[in-house]
Amino acid sequence: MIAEFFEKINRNGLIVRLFCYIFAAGVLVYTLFFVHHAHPHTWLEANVPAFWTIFTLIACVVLVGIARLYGAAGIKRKEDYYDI
Amino acid sequence: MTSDLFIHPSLLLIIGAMLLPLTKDLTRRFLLLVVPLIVFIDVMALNTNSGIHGVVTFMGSWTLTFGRVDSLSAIFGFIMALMCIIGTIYSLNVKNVWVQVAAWFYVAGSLGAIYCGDYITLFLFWEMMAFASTFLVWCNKEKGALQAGYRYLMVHTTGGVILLLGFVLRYQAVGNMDFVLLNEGSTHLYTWLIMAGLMLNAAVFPLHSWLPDAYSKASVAGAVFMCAFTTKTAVYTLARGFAGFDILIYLGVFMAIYGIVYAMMENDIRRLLAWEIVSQVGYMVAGVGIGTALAINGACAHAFAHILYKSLLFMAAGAVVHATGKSKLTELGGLCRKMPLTLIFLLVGGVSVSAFPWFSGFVSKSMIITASFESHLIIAGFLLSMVSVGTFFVAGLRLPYYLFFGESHCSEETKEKAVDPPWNMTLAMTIAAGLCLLVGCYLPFLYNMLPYAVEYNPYNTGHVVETLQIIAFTVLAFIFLKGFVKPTNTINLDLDWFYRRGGQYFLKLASGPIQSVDTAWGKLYKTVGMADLLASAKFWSWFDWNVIDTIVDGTARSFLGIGRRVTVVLQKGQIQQTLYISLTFAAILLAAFIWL
Repeated sequence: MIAEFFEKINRNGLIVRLFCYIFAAGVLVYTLFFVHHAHPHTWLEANVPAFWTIFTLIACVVLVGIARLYGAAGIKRKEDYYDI
Repeated sequence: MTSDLFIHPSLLLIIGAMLLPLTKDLTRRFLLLVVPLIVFIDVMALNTNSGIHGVVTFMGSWTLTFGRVDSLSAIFGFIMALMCIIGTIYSLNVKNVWVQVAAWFYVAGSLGAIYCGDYITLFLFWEMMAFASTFLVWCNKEKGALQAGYRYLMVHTTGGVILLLGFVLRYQAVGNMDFVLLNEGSTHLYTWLIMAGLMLNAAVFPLHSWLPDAYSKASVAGAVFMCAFTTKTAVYTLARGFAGFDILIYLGVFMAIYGIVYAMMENDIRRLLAWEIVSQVGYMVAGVGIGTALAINGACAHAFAHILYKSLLFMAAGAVVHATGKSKLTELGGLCRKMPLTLIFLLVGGVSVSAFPWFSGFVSKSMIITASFESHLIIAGFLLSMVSVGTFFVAGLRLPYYLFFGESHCSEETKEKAVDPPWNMTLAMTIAAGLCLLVGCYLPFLYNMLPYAVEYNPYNTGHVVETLQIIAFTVLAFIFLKGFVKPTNTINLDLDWFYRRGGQYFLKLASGPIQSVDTAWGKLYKTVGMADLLASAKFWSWFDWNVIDTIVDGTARSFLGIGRRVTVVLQKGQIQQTLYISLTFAAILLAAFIWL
């Protein structure tokens, strides 16, 4: 039963993606219009609306970018690199 | 338990480990289930009775403290003993008994290091951990495990020597071996040596390369033990000796980022998880470096939570390796239909490490991040938050997606072999998953054990909303960026390049130029200097062998005979066995020396 459920998820990528978009939109709306009592640590959190949304997107791009650049700079090698 | 009665949990484990090979089938199963339970009860009883126990005078002038129980050692002892139960249940189906023997010695070393109160005892248990865990790597029959084990042993022996050097220098300067908090105001060479030795076990950059190298090559059950004990014991010792050292903040934050970047590129599932250990231990090291009550609480809480969810992840990954025999994402994929239970456990581990609300990471990781903001370390706080985004990206999304969903790269044979693991593995994963939820949902369970009183509550609106945004938008980013982190059939070079490639270059140099110079020199020596010497030596050796020895009693000949027989028994050409035997022998000698 669980296996079939996972299989369905695997087959219907579009629905899963749609669900994710709706969830993200919901969180964003909730953050922007319904949260007023948060205790921010920093000036940025207090004054930039939906700060952590922007932060997350930038963080993902930065980390993936670093990993790609770093890998391309010669860190990624063939698997038999150490076998002589 | 009264204060007079002190039974060291390590002693129980060592006795158990020695009994194991003598038993069979049912008795062995009984021991495997009961001994960790007894150890756990012993640790619980010990923890209620804080103070100094088990003080032994050693060789007249040394005082060894085996049982220092306080709020810091109590929480680490508790989680290690708990993990021993889970790990042993997971390893129940392993036929090779030496896996469990090595694992118990390893746990005994960890518990001993946690409860010890002086550097001599610490060193003894520290080395016990290093050697025992090496055998967990060697128990794996996979190609490359033997070499990885040697590299692991080499690195840890070096670390042990650095540590010992620090202890000795400190003893010379201070005159005692007490394992206490060192002073950041007046540092000496020994401070840095001890710190480096401890940092090596915590896999702090640049001393971290051994971790992904060995953990990805260890046996399936062995890796589950290894992922819990070495680094977290080291975090404990750092918290004990180096709380508040600023350098640890920088190193911790850096290793958190470094680990997650490598995890993003990694193809081998257990190596990916190992890189994430480096990243997560970075939080703890940074927490120890910040050194405030909240930060130390955070480091301990995170170590506690980390042991549970990381072992769960390693158990799930191990279940895949156990079933299919493959560990590369490029040879797996699309397993969701075949191994649904394993997928669920992997997801529970993944969302715990990613700090989802109601899971264990949520209540521990945020303590360290909050502590860094409260100590006005704004940059460190934001960088650690960035890593927490990356952690969800890798462990919560990349790993499950490319392992269980998407395109399948499995061969027909792999597909056929892929089934959910046996009952004992499932049981161990269920316990770990349940504990992840318990820690996340019922705060007092963890918070009441922490070394300082906790005023912190992670379930405040600000934190929950922040986490929800991070979760929702990391998923969104993953949908668009997943093509960029697709696993490829490659390995990633790391600092171990210096001893792996460097060693190969040295070997080439040695077998080339150095060897030829040596040969030439030897030839010259032989022709010029040796001829006379050899002739006279031959005579004297003949004289000694046939005249003197015959006269005395044939000692030389009988020794040679015994030596030959011992060689046949002991040296079967397998250096691991020889090492094992000589270590056992050394341990017996040491014990005899102390007690007789």
